[in-house]
Amino acid sequence: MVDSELITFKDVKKRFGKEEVLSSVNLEIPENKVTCIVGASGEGKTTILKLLIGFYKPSKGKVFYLRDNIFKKARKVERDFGFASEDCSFYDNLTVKENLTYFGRLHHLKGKVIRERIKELTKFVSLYDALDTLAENLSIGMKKRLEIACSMIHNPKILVMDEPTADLDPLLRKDILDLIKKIRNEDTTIIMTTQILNEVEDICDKLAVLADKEIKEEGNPSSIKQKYGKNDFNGVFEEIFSERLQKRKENIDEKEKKNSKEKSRGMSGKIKNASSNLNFIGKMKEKRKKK
Amino acid sequence: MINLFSVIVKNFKTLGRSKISAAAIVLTPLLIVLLAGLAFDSSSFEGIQVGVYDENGNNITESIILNIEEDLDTHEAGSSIECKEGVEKGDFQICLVFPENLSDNKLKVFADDSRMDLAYFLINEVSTMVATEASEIGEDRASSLLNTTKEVEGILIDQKEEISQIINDLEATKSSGEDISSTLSDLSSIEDDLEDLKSSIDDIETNDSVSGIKGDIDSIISSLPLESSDDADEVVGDIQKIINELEEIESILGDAIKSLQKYSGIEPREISSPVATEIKSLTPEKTNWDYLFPTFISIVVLFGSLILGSVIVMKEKKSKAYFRNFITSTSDLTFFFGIYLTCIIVLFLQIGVVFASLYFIINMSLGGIIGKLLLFIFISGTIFIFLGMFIGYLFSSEETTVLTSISIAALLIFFSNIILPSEAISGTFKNIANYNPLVITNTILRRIILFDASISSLIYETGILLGFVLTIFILAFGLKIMTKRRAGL
Repeated sequence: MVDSELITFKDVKKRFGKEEVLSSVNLEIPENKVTCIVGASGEGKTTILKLLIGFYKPSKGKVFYLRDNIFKKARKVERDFGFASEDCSFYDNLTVKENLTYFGRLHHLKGKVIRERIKELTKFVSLYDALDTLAENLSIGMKKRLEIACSMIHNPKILVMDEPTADLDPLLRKDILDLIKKIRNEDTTIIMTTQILNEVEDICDKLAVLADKEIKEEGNPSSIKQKYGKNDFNGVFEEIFSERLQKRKENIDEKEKKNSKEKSRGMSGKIKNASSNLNFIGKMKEKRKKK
Repeated sequence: MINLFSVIVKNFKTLGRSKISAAAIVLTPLLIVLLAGLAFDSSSFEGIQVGVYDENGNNITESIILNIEEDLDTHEAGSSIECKEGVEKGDFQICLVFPENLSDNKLKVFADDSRMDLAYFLINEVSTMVATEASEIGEDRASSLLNTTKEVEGILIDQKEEISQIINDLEATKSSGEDISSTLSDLSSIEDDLEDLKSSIDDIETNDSVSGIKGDIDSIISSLPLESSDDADEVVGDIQKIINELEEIESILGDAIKSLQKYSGIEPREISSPVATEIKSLTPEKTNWDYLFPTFISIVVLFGSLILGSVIVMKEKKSKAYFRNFITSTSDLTFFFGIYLTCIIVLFLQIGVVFASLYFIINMSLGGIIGKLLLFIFISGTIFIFLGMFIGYLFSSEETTVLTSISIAALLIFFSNIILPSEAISGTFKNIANYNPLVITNTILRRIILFDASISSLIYETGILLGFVLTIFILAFGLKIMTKRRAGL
């Protein structure tokens, strides 16, 4: 299958008020592949995903879906995209089945289609036995799976996932990664963000590294490793973020110095106070003796 | 349409599964109805303490106080100052000071004006009691006055009759006097005759015997009481004068009797209260609850809708699933009306609970007016739900939303006629208050519940309410679109 660019970010800039979150993002996302966007916390990964589904409007630049501006294809985007958020965006006091039925309805699916889809989907994400369980009573891993199921209820062509493995223990993380692999095998384009570097090699077909408000590196994970001459992605990231790590280290050192200075000032002040008190007591004693 | 139904079902499921909120929705109005219905289901005010200070007790004041005591709890105050202080401290709701001389001085009433509605009610109640008693006292006095008048009239009639009798007697005397006078006039003619006879005799003068006769005639003439004739005329004239004077007195007495006779058919009440006032209530046989009911329903609609609208919107906004709703192909209008319809259904559930409780607890049947009531509850509820939703979309924290909703509800209540009469509001604020949707709702419900007003007679008010519906819908929906843009798009 020949790679074709499904989504394209062209000089996308995003501001929230005066704060610039993304300065100039250029990114191409291929069809039927898993694209991972990697970056430090607060770097703007979720913003990229929300720009992708048309939830945020770029302050500058454009996002294209099938060569059309994403905002001109709002209905198609709603139909073709599924979004699994990090926070599990479903109703806690509805059951698994009720949540899936509700979101199916919102996507204008017919009752029969919804019933079939729920059966198929809950089996696929291993939630079939928990259909009548309230979402709030599900384990964290099951919640993540329900979130993915909710985002897939309308059978989207593109599944966008925001840190699907965040806050999970290694076993649960493996479960979710296996599920993502299963979804990829269903010919679904997956775009996901992550901070966990081990996942990158495991499931990503394409990697985009977000740093300093722009995409610093983009390409096949192994080619990126080769470019930096590193064996794993920890090394690659250290290299990419070296400047920032250095700054952070300097900041920490400076803070520590400041703290120790303040501490010593505080100590000397206390000593001074104590000695002046002692002097005063001594003088008082002498006066009494004289009397 | 299916989407709208799904949104409503989802809202009910999420509301219903929170046991506390479900209980609050159903039980709160039930509890309020139970308490308010039982508490206000009477036609009088109870537990009202009336202070009384009677400077110099007399029959009149004591009887007024006794009359007040029949309906209200009275407490004797030691002085006028104590009376006033008692009202200030809240020991009495009203205090009456009866001055030493009630007829010269006015009755003083101390009432706490800060509790305007109660003060007006009590002043009116007590004034009515005092007026009733004063009227009865006046009636007694008028009755004794009329009796005296009647007695005087009788005496005057007797006197007049006696005078008439005297006049009659005098007329008889006068007539006798006139007879005497006439007799005396006759004597004068006899004298003339005798003089003629004497002159005839003089002509004759033939013998002595004739001369003797002449001498006899002279002695007869001299013995005649000719001078008494003038006296008799004088007496008759005097009698006539007396008769004239007596007739004048008789006429005066006649006038006086006529004047007194004007009061003969008059009842004492007509003098003590010449203008009888009867206050005809437009709503006969109503209890306090009947008067309170329209206001109660208005407040349930106001709070129920406003808080429900704002809380459901806020709950939805705070839900993690809110984001997912945004990225589906369902329109914003569907979500908006989903929330609105959920609120209106909950409101009607609450109203249903209220009406059912009224029927079973205090046997209040709304019979033929229920359709009209529900129509206007629907229109007013829509206004307040949209207003609540507007508040919900405006703020980002639940606390601020609830506080703002309560503040706006309080503001609407304050600028209405629920706490104070709207007539007490001045100037521009009064005009604003007249267009307060709560005031309009309250007016409409009162007219329907108390006077069974027809819908056609409420067209103007309905038009204003529908104007509010449209305006607030545009504002709330506009704000929803704006907040969506603020959040992302």
